[in-house]
Amino acid sequence: MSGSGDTKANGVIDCKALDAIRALQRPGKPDMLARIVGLFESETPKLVATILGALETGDTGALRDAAHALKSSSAYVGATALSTRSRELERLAREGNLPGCVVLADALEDDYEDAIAELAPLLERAA
Amino acid sequence: MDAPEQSSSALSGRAQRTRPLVLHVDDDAASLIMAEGALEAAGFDVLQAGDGAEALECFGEHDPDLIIMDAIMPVMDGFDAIERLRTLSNGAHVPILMITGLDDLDSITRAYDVGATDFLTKPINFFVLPYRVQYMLRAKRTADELRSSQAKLDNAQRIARLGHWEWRPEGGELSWSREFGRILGLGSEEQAGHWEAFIERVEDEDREELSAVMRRAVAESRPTSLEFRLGRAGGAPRAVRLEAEPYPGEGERCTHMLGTLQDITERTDAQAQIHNLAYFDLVTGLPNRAQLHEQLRLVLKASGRTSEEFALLFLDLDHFKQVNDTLGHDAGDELLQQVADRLLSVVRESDTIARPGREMAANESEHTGETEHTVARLGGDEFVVLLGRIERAEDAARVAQRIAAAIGESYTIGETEVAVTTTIGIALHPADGEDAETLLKHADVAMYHAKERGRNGYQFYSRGIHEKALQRFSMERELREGIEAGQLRLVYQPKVRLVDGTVCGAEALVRWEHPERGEISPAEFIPLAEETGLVLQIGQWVLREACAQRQLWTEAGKTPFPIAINCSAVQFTRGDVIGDIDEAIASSGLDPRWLEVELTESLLLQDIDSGIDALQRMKRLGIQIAIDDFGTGFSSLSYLKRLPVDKLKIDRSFVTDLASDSGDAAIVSAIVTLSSNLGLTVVAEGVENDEQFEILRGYGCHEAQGYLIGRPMAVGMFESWLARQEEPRRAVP
Repeated sequence: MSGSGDTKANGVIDCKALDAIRALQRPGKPDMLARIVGLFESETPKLVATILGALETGDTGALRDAAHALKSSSAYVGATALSTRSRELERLAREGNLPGCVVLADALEDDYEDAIAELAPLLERAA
Repeated sequence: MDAPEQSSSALSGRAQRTRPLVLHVDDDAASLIMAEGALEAAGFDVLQAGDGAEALECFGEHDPDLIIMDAIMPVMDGFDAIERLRTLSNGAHVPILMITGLDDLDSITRAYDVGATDFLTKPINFFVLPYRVQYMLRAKRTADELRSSQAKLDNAQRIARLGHWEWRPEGGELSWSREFGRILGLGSEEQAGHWEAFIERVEDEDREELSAVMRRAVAESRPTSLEFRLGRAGGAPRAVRLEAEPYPGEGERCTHMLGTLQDITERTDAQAQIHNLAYFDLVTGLPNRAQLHEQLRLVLKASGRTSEEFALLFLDLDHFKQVNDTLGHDAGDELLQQVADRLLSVVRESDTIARPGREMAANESEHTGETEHTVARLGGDEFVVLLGRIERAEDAARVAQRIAAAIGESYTIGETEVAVTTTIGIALHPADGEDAETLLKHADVAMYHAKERGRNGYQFYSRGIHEKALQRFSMERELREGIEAGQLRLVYQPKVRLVDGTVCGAEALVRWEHPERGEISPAEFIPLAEETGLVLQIGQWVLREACAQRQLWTEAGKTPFPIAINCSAVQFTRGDVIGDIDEAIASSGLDPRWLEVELTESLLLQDIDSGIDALQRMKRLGIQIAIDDFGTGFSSLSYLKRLPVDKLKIDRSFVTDLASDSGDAAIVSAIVTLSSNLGLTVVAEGVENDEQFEILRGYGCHEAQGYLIGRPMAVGMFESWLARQEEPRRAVP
């Protein structure tokens, strides 16, 4: 994915996105990065669960909305691969391509695991 | 989702806030948090909502300066929310920044359609966001100022009733301000159209002038102005003033004009009202002294051109002061109003009656009638009647009589019966004065003379005129009485054939046997009868009498020949002469071919088409028609063939000197030849000697009438004459 950045060369998180969040931090205010990553950690499993549930019931509308939400939230934390995958999933859901969505969902879970793994230390450090 | 946060300054309204308040609507918490950080750092206060419905609630409560709106959200999406916001009174102009997906072109289009101000794509660049928000707020302020100055301009224009417009003469495009539209009675939405459509709204009389003035201004590239009237559907016309000038910087060639249009109706109405106050009497609404002088000036100017007579009647009310003193001033004013009404109606009725027989010529008149008659109140109980264009003094006297009679009738003022009389002085122009002051003074003097001789009467300023008018009035009265008393009778003058001297007709002529003055000739009383309209009665009597007499002769076995009667122009213009003829024939039982009507050619030629029409209707009754006094009038031979007539009567003036005047002889000869060719019978009038008789016979003239044959004779004498004529014939076989 991202070949540049000052983090590990094989990392899935775009450090520029995180830098951008840090830049919004104002003195005396709660840690912005911690809040955003915290939200990502707490909200993303719900979205993934929604996506998987929707795949089983064939509810492409719910699938589309969840993918849409995940697309933005992952982009903000620099989870570029996850965001890209979410966008693709949103598109297929809108087209009603359920088999395509099933294939993508597997990869999306992997992307999610990778992203959380890389972001978790940040959260611990902040706490 | 997070509940909307409130910052302390958000509690006050838009105008009082020191930091602009931004409402951020998004279902993504991370996005809300980051945007809040970025915006607060840049000096904004931030409110947050998680969906469209929450946003509407929050907007109603806090009235934010700007809204950032995510597109896709649960409960109510951004598009619906914007649509609803725009319908709110304070939501119409609030800037809204829509957040859409980067690749979602449909959403961008939809965002603008529902009323978003601008858009930003996801993921949001939070460094850029505050700058974008700042820019939008600045643009909003500029738009607000523009709107406010537009509103101020609209208001100023509305208060001044002045609109502005711009016009491109070449294509005719016209654009205008709201007030311009209001003045024209257009809807406020309409702001542009075509010059021609505007011109069509201008009143007919003013349109051509406006077009010409504007054409000239464009051609010469210079400013112009004009006052005119605009017609409005379903409303009174508006008076407007238009100012125009070439667009600043226009060179020699003017392609663009701008200007103003002001509604000046109230101003012109006020001016008219001021004019009314200055020139009209408040109590009666009649022209006052100033207006009378103005009218006199006009009439004097006109009569200078045409040397026509007019009369000034000066009158006041006898015993008016008593009414005022006993019943009060309100009653006095009421009386003056009623007097004014009666004066006006008398004068109105007098308009045609004063000039009988002139209606036919009226359309040829160069006068417009505007300054014909005026009734004015000079003040107190004094009135003046200006009678324009009178024929003779008696016309004025007649009006004065009518005025005296009308004013002398009783009045009801409130519950009270009131009687007043009037005394009238008459001055004639030009006999009694040639300027307004002299005429008014002399009319006033005449009124005082009248009062000396007893109130409730009239008096001419000139004694001679007064006597003459009185004489004519007594003659009129006597004639009226004479007609009723049977003092009229007919005499008959025979006509004979020139070839054999046999009787071929008789002309019935009217005589008035006055009990004291003896027989009065028609030349004396017919002009008076025509003026007074009595000629209508006389004409009917003559017709009935002549028809009845002819029928008696027929029944007595007398030789059948037509009996001719004369018809006056007045009978044509004011009477129903055809109806009268029809009735006389019917009541007598006469075969209509034995009735002949003589008409002068001048009567027919006044209006040739209606003349022909009348003749044709007469012919349909089966009677004979003769042209009387032929040769004395216009004598248009070309008309002869168009007129359905049977006979021509050559005027006596050509016959008198027939033997000595070769010119007359030539005329008579020509008339006879031509008429014979047209199939007309020719009658020579005034044949007094054998020489004339022989010459006429030589020309081939058909009939003769004159003292040589027989004078006009009463019935008995005529019958004896007839008997003598027929004797030899009876002896022959």
